[in-house]
Amino acid sequence: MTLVIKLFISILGLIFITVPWFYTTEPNPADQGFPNWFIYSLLMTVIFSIFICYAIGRFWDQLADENAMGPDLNKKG
Amino acid sequence: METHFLDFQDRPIAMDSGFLLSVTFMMAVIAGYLLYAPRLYCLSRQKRYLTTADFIQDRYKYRPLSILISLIGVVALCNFILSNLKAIGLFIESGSANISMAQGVITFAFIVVLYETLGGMRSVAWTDVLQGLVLFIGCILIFGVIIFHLDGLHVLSINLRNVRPEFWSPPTLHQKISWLSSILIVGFGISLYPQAIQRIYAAKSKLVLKRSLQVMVFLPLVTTLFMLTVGWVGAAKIPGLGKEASDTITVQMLNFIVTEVPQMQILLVVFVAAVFAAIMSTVDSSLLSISSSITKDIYAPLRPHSSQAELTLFGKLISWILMAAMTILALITQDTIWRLIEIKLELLIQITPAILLGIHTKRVSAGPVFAGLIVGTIITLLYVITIKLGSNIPVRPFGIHAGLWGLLVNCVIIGIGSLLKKRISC
Repeated sequence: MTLVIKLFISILGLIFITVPWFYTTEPNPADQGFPNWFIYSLLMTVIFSIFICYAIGRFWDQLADENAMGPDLNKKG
Repeated sequence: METHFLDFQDRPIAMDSGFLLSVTFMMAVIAGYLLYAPRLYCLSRQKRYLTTADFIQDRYKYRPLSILISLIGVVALCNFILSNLKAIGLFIESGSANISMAQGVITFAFIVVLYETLGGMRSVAWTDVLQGLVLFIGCILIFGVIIFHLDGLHVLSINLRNVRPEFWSPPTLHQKISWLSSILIVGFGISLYPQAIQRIYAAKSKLVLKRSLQVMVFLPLVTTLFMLTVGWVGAAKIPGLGKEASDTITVQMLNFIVTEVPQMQILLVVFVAAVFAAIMSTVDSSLLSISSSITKDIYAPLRPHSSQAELTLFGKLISWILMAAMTILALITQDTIWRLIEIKLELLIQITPAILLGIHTKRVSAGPVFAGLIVGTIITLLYVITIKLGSNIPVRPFGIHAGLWGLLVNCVIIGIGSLLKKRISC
């Protein structure tokens, strides 16, 4: 699996978990402050941003490398 | 580039806690850049690309494909200008007792097209820098006033529970699917804006581009999130806001802040300047991108012996004609600003496979990409038009945008087409 596919899958996975899928119950009226699903989503979004920042620094040069494209199957010979 | 990232701050805020997704989708834009910008920047340095279609033509060597991608970009950008003109019209109308939306939109459009015609790319770049700074400072000031002079975040959340008990309810499954769909369509769609791609080409160096993206990924936390908070304070302070009225919540909140804290009148001036700045920045760069795309990708190949002066004149003429058309449409369209943004991105996301596959693999050829793009675009357009004609079908089938369904078919066609081509050549 090439680096770009691994990154693509990681990005999709991280985006997926920013959605508060597992929070279904109504917040308790006695609770104060922001609800848990909101805090969860915000936290996951911060983690997502840290990952992207790291990936830009770590993988930029590898992603820019032409050799990572693989062979040109349309070329004859 | 920084103002491109602040684009969503000038949008009136949706009155919904679920709009928290806008922070994520602004970050997803940078994720989209990560997937194609490193290689595209290198290629643009070697081959001196100017437009998106330059790369497509160089990679696939198929003129109909590059023209189609150029046209999709132009349509998306026209829609972009349209949503911005509507936003500025509503902003002016709700903030002033004496100026109508029509007067505001026409005056604004005239000023932008005039300075874009006189100045070109350099004026756009410099105004972007200044406008981005003003907008950034405006966002932080407004958020600061809400935290320190009004209620603060804790009281805000309690007020919202009291005034709108449903506000903090977790999204339903259907809403969660739409949430994911919105992040994908906005994240990948915005990263492929023609003017965004042109700015990657124009980056001063690899290091500058890389560093700016690393900073930009965190900006939604202090811009989008801050302005969402302003909208949520509005939801608590101004009960009973409808969908249409929520388009003007920013102005209503500014008026509210000034009423509560009169010494903050200067803030109103700063923020109004910031909103104008952001929309001007967005519209002028879109206009410039449209005129360069039409001139270079469509007009120049048809008239290969045209002089540079003729091409420039044609580009400027296109800017004026399109701006006039978008001004008229902005005054008559009934769509909300958010819906206009969605339609634009649903179309633009169809070019994702052509760009990403074109950059990262040589195994995909022009035929399947062209077929996939045509079918994906037609599916998206048919769906949008059917809804426009008043059909009762849902805007997002199963919670997923029509553009993503179109993209799915687009990718399947590319996959099958490439496999068939490989077998035939074997």
